Order: sequence, then C-alpha cells, then structure tokens
Amino acid sequence: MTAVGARRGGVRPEIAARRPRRVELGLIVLIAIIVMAAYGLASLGTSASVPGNLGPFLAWMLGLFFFVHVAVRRLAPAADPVLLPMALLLNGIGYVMIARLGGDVAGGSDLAGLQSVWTAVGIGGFVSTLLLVPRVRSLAQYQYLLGLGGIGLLALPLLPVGVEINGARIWVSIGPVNFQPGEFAKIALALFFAAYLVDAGELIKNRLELRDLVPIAAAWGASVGVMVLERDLGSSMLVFAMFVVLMWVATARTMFLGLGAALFAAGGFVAFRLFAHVERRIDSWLDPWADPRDSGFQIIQATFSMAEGGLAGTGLGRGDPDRVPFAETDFIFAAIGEELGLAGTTAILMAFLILIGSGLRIALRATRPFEKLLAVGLTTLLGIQAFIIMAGVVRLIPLTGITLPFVSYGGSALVSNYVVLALLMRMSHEQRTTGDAEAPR
Amino acid sequence: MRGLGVSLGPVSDQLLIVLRVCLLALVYLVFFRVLRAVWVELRDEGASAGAAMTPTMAARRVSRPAPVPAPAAVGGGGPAPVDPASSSPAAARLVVVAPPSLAGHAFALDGETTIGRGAGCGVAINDAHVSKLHARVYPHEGTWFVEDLGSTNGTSVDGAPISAPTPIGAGGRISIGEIVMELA
Repeated sequence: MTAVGARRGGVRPEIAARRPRRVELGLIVLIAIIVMAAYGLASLGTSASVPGNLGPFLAWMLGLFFFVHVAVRRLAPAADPVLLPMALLLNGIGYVMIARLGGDVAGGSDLAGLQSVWTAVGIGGFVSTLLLVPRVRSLAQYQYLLGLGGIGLLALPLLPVGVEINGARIWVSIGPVNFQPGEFAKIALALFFAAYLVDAGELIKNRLELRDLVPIAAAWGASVGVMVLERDLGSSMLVFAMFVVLMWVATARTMFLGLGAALFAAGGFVAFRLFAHVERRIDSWLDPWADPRDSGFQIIQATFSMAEGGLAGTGLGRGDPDRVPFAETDFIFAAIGEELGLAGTTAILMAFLILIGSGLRIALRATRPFEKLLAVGLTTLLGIQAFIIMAGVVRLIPLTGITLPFVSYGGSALVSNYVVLALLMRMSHEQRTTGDAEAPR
Repeated sequence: MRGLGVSLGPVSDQLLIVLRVCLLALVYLVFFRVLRAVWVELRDEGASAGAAMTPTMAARRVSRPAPVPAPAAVGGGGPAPVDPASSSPAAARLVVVAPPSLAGHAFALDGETTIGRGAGCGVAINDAHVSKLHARVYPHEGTWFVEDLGSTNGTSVDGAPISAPTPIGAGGRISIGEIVMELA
C-alpha cells in the first residue's frame, strides 16, 4: 500500500505507525539538550564551573533516553508520541533541581545520586510494563485481586513493617528497602475501579437504588480510614477524587460529582474538628502569618521563594530555594518558581496539561468501556496529584504533602508514575494499530 | 563547553541571563513542537475519517436530523442485502422516542439491521438491559419484520412481547430495555 492509500484507508500500515516515533525522537533529542544545558547552567550558577561529571551525566542520561526510545519502538511503535517526552522533560528538570538543591551540583549529592538510580528503575518499570502487558484489557479479569491488593498495599504501613516519617505512616521498610506502597496501590485501585464500574456503572445509570451507593460509601470510608490511621491526606484525597470522577464518567450522572464534593466536605469538616494535624494545615493555609516560625514557616518561605523568582527566575543555581523545607519533594515547585520564575513554572504546568490532554484523548478514542475508564482513571491520578501539590504550594488550597509526579524526589512515586505512563502508552498503541475509532453512538 | 571540571572564573551575570533565557526558549520550543505534532495528527485523522466512512458506519451513525443516506428503501435502487430492491418497504428509519435523553436520535434502516449492545450492531445501544446481539429488523415482501435473537430481556412490538418474527408497520414501536423506537 502506498503512503497515500495508507492515509485514506481505515487500516494503518507501518508507514503511518512509524511517524509517532519520529516525532518522539525529535522531542527527546531536544529534551536531552535542555536537561544537559540546565545541568550545566545550575553548576555554573552555584560554583561558576562546568561540572566535572558532565560527561558521565550526559552518557547516563543519553543512555536512558536512547534505551527507552528504542524499547518503545519495539514494544509500542504506534503509541502517542508526546506522553513519553513530557515525562522525560519533567523528570529531567526535576533531577537538575534535586542535584542543585543538594548544594554543589557536580559533587553529586546523595539525593541526586539516588534519584538518578530511581529514574533508571522507573524507566525499567516502564519498559517491563510494556513488555508484560501486551493487552491492557486482559488486566480486567484480575479485578478483585487488584482491588484487594490495592487495599492491602494501602494498609501495609499499618503493619509492624510500616514506619512513620514526618508524621505520616506511609512508608514500609523491609530490610534495606524503603518504599511507599500507597504509590502502587493507586494503580491497582484504578484498575479495579475501572473494571468494577464497567458493569456496575451501567446498572447505576439506569436505575439508581440505595444499594448502588454502597461502593461510593465504601471508597469514602477507605479514604477516611487512610487519612485517620496513616495521616496521609494527599493519598486519601487522590483516591477518593479518582473514584468520584470514574463514577461520574461511568454513569454520566453529574449528581456523583456533587455527592462526592458533599462527602468530601463532610469528611474534611469532621477531620478538621477531630484531628490536630488537619486543623494545623487549614490554619496555616488561611493565615500562615499567625505562626510564621512553625506551622506557617514552610508556606511563607515558599511564597518568598517564588516572589524572588519573578517572571524569569533568579537563574539556576543563583537562588536560595533550599531555605524552603522539603524543597526536593513537596516543594520542588517553589524551587522551580524561584530559579526559573513564572516562565519555568508555566512550563511545568504546560507539560502536565499536555500529559493530561493526551491521556484524555486516549480515553476518548477507546472503544471498550474498561479502557475508557482506565485511561480516565490513570489520567485523573496524574492530573489531580499534580494539581493538589502545585495548588498547595501556591496556597490555593490547604497543603497536603504529596509529590509532584515525575518532578519530585521519590523512588516509589517515580516508578509508579512511569508504570501509569506505560499503561497509557500501551492503550494508545492498541487503538492506533487496530484502527478502531470510537463507534458513533 | 570546553574544559570539563575547570573553573571558568567569575561568569558574568549577563551571560548567565542570556543562557537562562535560551534554556527557557528551548523548553517552549519543545511545547511548540508537541502542539504542532498533535495538530498535524488531528488534521490527518479528520481527513481520513471522512474518507474511511463505510456504508455500515453511515447506517449506524446517529444524528438529530437523521442523515438518511440515500433513500435506500423508497421503491427501489437501495442496496438492500436481504431482498432486492423491489420488495423493500417504504419506511426507512427508526426514531428513538424514549428515554427522553435519547429521544430524537434516528437510525437509517438499510436492509437487515441488527440491534444490540455489541459495537458491531447496526443500531448500537449502550444499555445494560440490552443483549450484545438483541434483535434484528429486516424487510420481507414489502414489510418490516422484527425478530428477537434470543435476548435475555426480550423485545416488544407495540407493547406486546414477541416470540417470533413480527411485522411492524409505520408508527409501530419496538421496545428494548428502556429504549423505545418508532418506525418512521
């Protein structure tokens, strides 16, 4: 078939399937240049020298980029071309900020070294997900296993293996390995909700009965449980928001958005009254200046930090973003705001918008309800998580400590977000190879 | 970048500013290329969607003012697969009358048409009470007939459940699950 025939016909032969990868390669090359330049600039800014380990850094980064690109060419050649580059851009900028926050960029702080290892593990997770999941819809048959597994992972830190760090009991420590099982629970729960709502959503759409509200009540109960027992506000909000959005998408009833908001408000109010840590968060959101040295300190520092950045930032390595506590994880957005200014934070926002847009486009093009719901669920996870923490840092909503996907330091989060990305890429590839567009309805 | 690891001495602030602006410009160049790639893809998709429209898809397409692609059933000339032209009845549309949220949607009948939840059906209804392949409507000797294809919840014509192929006249109503369609 000729190229013209390929464009006309419903079936997309290989010529058309190659194009996404060419676009992707172009973007990845540009992003490699950006990350390298940012790394060099950060070093020039802090110590006025080109980092001595620029060569090894470059080799490591180019090796990873090349590996993941070739893997996608092999495993999902027709997948969306912009998902992976956006993730790599966020990951790269985040890495440079983490290296820079460690002090001397070239000195290779502990966190930066770990983050580069985690990036490699994340990309390994991305490739193995593509390799192990040839068809996303085959995951639907494990729905109850995934649901139980997700809840189990969420509850795991409550067992003796869990450890409490910075007031939240969300870590599990087994031998030398520390990780946050909640990050992987999100994916398992997204798969479970999507599979469950394929059938349940249809029934609820037609006849709403009281017992149909049991699942939403259970999800609410679980997220309240997580909040109370592990004091992890972020994950609790995230899982609940994802469930409400999926209920809404599956049933086409706007009522569920209202119900979700009402339940959330009720839960939030009770938590505000009962738990000191929630009350502290809300108080320091409403008026951080009431207690500027303690509970309001972080958010005030972040505000000053971003104000200092202005429009184009102080320049990488030229600001003092390390004055904000947890600048590598929760507050990395403030660090970017200080050194790259509004232009830099807008870039981060745009990268997330493009990721979310591509994810929702996959959902729109999906023909099977399970894939549609799953794409919505996974995209919601990424989008809401990014929103919760960015809005928290700029004091639009009360702060909840979760990581900025792909950008913040954090192994579990990075790996799980790459797995989410791989599932989206896999669905996108399936859609474009079978050529099944959305059936008109 | 020459002299790896060698201190360059005091780097002028102006140079750093220029480099920073270049970096940000590069980042925005990436976004520009992303948006252009998405735009090109959408444009091509739009072009191929128009060309790849098959007759079955046209029959399945739902729209408010019904498209009625070529009056296939009027007297003759339509490519009716079951019975050649002469015996095709005059009515050629199924119009949804209930539930209100779907009312007004119309499906053009182009010879034998299947109704069901499956995506391959001529009239695809996304409803839990509709079987994957629920029923079919076909022309026979100048009349439209409705036949239930072993569905779980059954099919009714003008309110009465059917067990055998049942003739349906203009204005007749087919009920499947919550959905009522009128032959027009």
